[in-house]
Amino acid sequence: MSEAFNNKRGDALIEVRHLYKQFGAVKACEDVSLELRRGEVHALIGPNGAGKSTLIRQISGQLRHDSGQILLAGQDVSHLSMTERARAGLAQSFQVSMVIPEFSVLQNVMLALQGKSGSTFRFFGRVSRQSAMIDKARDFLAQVDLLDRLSSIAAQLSHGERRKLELCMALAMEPRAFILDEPMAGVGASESRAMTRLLASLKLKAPVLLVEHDMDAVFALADRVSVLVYGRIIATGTVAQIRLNPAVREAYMGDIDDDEDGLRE
Amino acid sequence: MSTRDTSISVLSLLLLGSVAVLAQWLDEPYFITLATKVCILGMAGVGLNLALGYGGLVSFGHAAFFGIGGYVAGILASHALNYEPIMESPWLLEGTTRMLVIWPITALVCGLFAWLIGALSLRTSGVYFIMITLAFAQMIYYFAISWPSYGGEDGLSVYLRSTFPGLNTMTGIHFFAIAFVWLMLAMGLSSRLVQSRFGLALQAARQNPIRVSAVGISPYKVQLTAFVISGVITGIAGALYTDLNRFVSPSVLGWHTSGEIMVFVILGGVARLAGPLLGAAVFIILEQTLGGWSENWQFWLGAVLIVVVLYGRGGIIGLLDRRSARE
Amino acid sequence: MSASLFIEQLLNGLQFGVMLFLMSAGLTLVFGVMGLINLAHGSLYMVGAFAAAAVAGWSGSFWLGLAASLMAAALAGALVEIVVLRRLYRRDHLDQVLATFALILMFSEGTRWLFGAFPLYLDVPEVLSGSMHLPVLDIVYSRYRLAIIVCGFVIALGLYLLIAKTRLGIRIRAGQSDRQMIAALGVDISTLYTVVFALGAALAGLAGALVGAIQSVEVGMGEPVLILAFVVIVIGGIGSIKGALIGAIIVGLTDTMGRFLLPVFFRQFMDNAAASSVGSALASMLIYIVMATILIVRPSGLFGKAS
Repeated sequence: MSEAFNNKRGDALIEVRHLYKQFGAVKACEDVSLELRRGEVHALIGPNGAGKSTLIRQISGQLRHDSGQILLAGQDVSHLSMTERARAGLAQSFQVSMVIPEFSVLQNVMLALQGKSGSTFRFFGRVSRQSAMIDKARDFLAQVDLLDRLSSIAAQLSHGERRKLELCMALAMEPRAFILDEPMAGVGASESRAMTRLLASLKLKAPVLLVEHDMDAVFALADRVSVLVYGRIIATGTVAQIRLNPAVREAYMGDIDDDEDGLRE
Repeated sequence: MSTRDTSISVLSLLLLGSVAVLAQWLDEPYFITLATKVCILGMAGVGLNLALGYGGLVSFGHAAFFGIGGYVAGILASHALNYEPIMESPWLLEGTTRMLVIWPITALVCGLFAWLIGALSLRTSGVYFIMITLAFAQMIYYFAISWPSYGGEDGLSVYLRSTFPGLNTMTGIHFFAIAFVWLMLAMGLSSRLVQSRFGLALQAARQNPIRVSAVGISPYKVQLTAFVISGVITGIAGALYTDLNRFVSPSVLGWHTSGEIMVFVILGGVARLAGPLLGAAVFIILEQTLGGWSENWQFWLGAVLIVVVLYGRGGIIGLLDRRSARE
Repeated sequence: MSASLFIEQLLNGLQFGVMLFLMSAGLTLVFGVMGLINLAHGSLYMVGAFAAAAVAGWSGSFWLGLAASLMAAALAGALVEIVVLRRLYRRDHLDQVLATFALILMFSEGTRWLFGAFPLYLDVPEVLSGSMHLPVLDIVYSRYRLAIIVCGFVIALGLYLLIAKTRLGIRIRAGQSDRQMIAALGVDISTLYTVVFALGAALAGLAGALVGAIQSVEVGMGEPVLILAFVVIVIGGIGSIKGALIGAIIVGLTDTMGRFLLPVFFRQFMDNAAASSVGSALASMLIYIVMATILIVRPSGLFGKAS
């Protein structure tokens, strides 16, 4: 990863430049530029339908952008597929939990480790006997507090547990950057504190681009915030700056200071 | 894969082997032929099961590989038996009746076709995938019908089975042994594959390709590789089938063949190691018993299959599972 | 190669395409509305042809035979839908393929049971026999084939009106876009499904009867046509009637013109025997090549919704 440190723009791990995306007549993304810097949690907020998920999907490669550039550690990844971007160091979690439903928790994490090490095209050794890999998977599961559900089938996990499993898969990829699409969505009040703590710990490993509706979590975690409205970024700044930004106040109904939950919808 | 799958597989193989040995002892060559047919068709099903069962790739065109394998074996052998080289320029290429040469060539040719068909078909999914694989198989079927060099519609006779060192392949039980070993190899290979890292990725890609791609594994490459391996296994079964019948015709390339191989897999149990073998065995038993009982046995076969689809989910192995769960 | 021969082949291709449309319309409707892959659709075509041949043979009237083909195929379709297929709408494609494959075995053997192994023949009615001069194109062409073309376009128009203008059509369209919605509208879904299925079956039966007067009526006649119908709906985009019409005409023309033109083409640089064997081999593969090409460019067909 040393080439990344030598990069002139070494400060930005993900850099999005002048991104455009249109579905028919709908402009989902209009001249969006964004930076995810080393060591930061950068939250992306905005009302429903602002194009947050569309933006995230373009960065991860699930969707192709119409024009503009996406750089990962200074290298243009615009033309790489989702798989190749993942191999280049992007780990993501999805808005709707995406685990392999018929696999056990352990197998899910093994899959991520296999993706990380690029060892998928090995046809003979049994996965269940890869003790080094299994130990590694257990370490990651311990980090998200899922070790006791090791052999449960993913489809039978609770919603919160599935969220954790997904984060664990992202962790296991030891990525250069995390892209998390609403990791707190649907997580119950009792689990949300633990989840926030878990998200905070991710930042120590790699910067996090976070889409989140839960404003408590955003304000607790984010170093910087970008506000997306109708496919445009109307403001970027620290939490304090964003709270005071008049354009943001206008875009959101009501006043943020009076009613933080006003940001939710 | 469960240990239960392994034990069902070992048991079914033992049963099949003993049927052949018993038939040899009782001097019933017809039953040896039937057992050999079960081996070969079961192996074709094992190939398909890899793509269809574990990979979720519903190929309705595996007759292409079964038939191409059959034609490769038939063409090589008929050239050798007639002492006509396959081509003389730019270099001399002669036929052969040595199985040990025929098999690698079959694998190569079928692998190449599977790669080509797979690479194009995997761009689509769902019903479109079913239909495009069917279309490719039909394309090859019609080609075989209208290409006169190797018998066209009438097919190609090979009057002797190809040879294997140390065995007399024209003896029923010897040829059975060859087919049986191939079936075991195919099942062994497929069992190892499914449990390997590759198998993990393949089964994951069936359930959630986006997730697989998000951890940096290309579902397309994984599925294409599985499709090629699947085509090669089914293709070698096709080569053996030509030797069994000493005849190959375009009907092995027809969509009925694709349908039947699919029936073996579903009847036996999708994504179960012994599924295709049990399916092929039951299919052939039904064919023989119903065929002895009624001229219109296919009508009753159809009725049985419908009952299986409607009420017997998980095929024969699913039925066994439920029975043992009840006990 | 004379111009009139060329035009005649074009018309033959069009006639073939129209016939394929009758087959494909039902197939694509059933898939679009119920999500069912019905391999047994070719059997309904065969049922129509046999009913027409039997009734026409018994009564001496082609028209009675045609009516019988519609009724027999619709009845057989409704019966199969009620007894077997409605249990499979929620199942995966694999189960549907297997069950309808089994239905083919039953239909084929059942027909052989009833009618024996020998083909039946259906005579073209007096009014439509022979050929007529087409003034605009200045060629002489079979009256009967011309009638099939006209009949096919009339049915295509009728189907369009049915789906665009009638209450049944509204329900069908609702069913295609959202199955929950038609339940919410208070439509009796199972009756709707049976009606749609019977409608598709009747069209297939009609196609069988119409073709029965050109070819012989025999067991297994439905299968090659079924596969072509699949090619048609895949090219057109599964679920789209418009796609089925355009796909059918593409397939009909490509196949007919390929068989006609390719040997001629290869004769430019090969001897006659080689040219006709290479030409016909390639011609028989041509529609599959076209289909593969279209799917590679547009994986959901020409008018299909992207998945």
